[in-house]
Amino acid sequence: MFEPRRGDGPGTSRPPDPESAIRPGVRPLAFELTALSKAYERGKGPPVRAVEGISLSAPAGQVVGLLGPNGAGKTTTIKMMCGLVTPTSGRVRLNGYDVARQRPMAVRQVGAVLEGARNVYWSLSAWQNLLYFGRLRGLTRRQIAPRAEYLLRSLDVWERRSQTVGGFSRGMQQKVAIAAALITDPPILLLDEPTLGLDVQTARTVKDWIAQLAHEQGKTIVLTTHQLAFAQELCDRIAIIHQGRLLTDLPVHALLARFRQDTYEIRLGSPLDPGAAPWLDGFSVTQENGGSSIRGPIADQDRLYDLLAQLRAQHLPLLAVEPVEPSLEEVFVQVLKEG
Amino acid sequence: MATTTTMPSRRSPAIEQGAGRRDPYAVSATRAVLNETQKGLWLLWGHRAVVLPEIITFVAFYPFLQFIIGNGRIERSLVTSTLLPFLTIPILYLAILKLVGDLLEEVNSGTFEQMHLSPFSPASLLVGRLLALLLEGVLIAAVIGVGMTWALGVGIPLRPAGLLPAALTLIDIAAFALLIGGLALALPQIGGIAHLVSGLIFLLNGAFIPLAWYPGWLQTLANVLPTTLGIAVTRRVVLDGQPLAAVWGDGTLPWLIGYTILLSALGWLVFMRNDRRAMQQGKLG
Repeated sequence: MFEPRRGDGPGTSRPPDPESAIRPGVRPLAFELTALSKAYERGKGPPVRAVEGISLSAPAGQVVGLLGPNGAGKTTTIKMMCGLVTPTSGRVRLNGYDVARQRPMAVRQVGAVLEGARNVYWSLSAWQNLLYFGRLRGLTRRQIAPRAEYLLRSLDVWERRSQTVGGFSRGMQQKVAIAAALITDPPILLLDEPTLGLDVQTARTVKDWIAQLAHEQGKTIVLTTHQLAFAQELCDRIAIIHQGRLLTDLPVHALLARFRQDTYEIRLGSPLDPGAAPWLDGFSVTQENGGSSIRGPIADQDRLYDLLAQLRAQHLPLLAVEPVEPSLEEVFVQVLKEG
Repeated sequence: MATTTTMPSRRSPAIEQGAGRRDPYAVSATRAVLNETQKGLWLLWGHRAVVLPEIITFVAFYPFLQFIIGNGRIERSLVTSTLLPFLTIPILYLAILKLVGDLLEEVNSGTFEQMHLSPFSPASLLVGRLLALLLEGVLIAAVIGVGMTWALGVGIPLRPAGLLPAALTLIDIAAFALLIGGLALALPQIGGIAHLVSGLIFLLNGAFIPLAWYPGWLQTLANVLPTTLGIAVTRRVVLDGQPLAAVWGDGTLPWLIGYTILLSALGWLVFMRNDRRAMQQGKLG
């Protein structure tokens, strides 16, 4: 399948730079944020620190989820990545190109769909939008036309290509915005809340598409979302930011594993009345099919053995004891709490 | 509409065609600028239901204005001196007010941010956008010019020498619109300012009543406003039949050229500066 360009087209060859030199066996970095900070001056008051010293990088072909509560600095980070917001300090490199110093080359590496924005012209047709955005980024009509057809067909918009985007559903409009961001086939795609306001089916379509872009076409995708199940399913890595600071940046499995040992599920062959078991304080108990299950944090082996001893003393039949894989949502809350 | 989308596992066509060859920067930059013009024309066509009444309003406005000034009748002597300045009014209004309106709408809709993901300078892209607005304005001006000279029996001779000052006047308008567009990125109250400035130019450039009717200090003020100087030179060349050498010799044309260069540089600098500031403040979108 397609690999990000190294020698031509919109994503062009890397500049000679010893810092980003490609070493044998090491996957080149698609993007690299170094000590990135942004403080917004707001009148006479103190500056608002939106992002503080974030360093983050990823090799090509990864989907990186940038998570955080509202106001955490996700959108500012995304916008600094594509050069729409000037950092107060720090550096952004896209495919080796410094966004501040090599802007024309750096922006050729990236396509972006930004949150809360139309991103495309609603008064123009889907086809006109793709022609416009392709030329805006330096392509000719001859280069754009087959690519636009490919994108619109892939996204099921081809039949309605001549209609104005303003008449489309929210999902269709978002598809056109994604197609416009991809018209130059950039190796890096930045998606700020790509499924915001979409119905379940369209959100799934967009999700499947993002997965294919990364895993079959080798694109690097950075996305922000509040839908943590969506992020867990899609992302290779998760970076959590809070109050402008990077709290964690790990592969999804490593992040989940970090919190795995604390939570256990104990399944029993008979019902359990939580009221009669005060020693289960802090655990959730569910009854199902004549049995029951206890779920909660167990900090160490001693605590686990204590619990099992209590259950044995009650003559409750034990079926299984398992560590529970926490959901990303649980991990997210935990990371913010530890923040 | 429920759909299942799968992306065909094949190479994307644009990449194969684009591989190995890229146009020189100047060529692709020019294409990007003209792309803005084309988009502007597409948008105009898309909004034709609004553009048509605009044309009718402008065309009807001039005889109505002359009817009022002429106390119930249209004075031919006034038409001769005011028609030429009036032709700049639709061009100026559309360039300034539509550009500001479009810019603010684009900032809100996020397409202004998308414009900044282009490898080309946003100011040069905006020039492309201005070209479309100038074309619309020139079209309306042509309809008014032809219509009025035919209906009122007043002739504006077509002298090729008049193209130079006319072109400089158009550049003045574009530069001034770029300046106001740059201010729009920094000043929330720009809508009011743009209307005020456009109204001032309309009153003082000779479209309303001849410039000579105003007191001296007001004429001096009028001469620093865009279009006044260009109109004065165009009038001398087109209506009075003076050769370009005459307006060059007395310093009027060099002054107009200098003014145009200065205004263009100022418009460019203000736009670029405020655009950079908007990026620093995170206000591009």
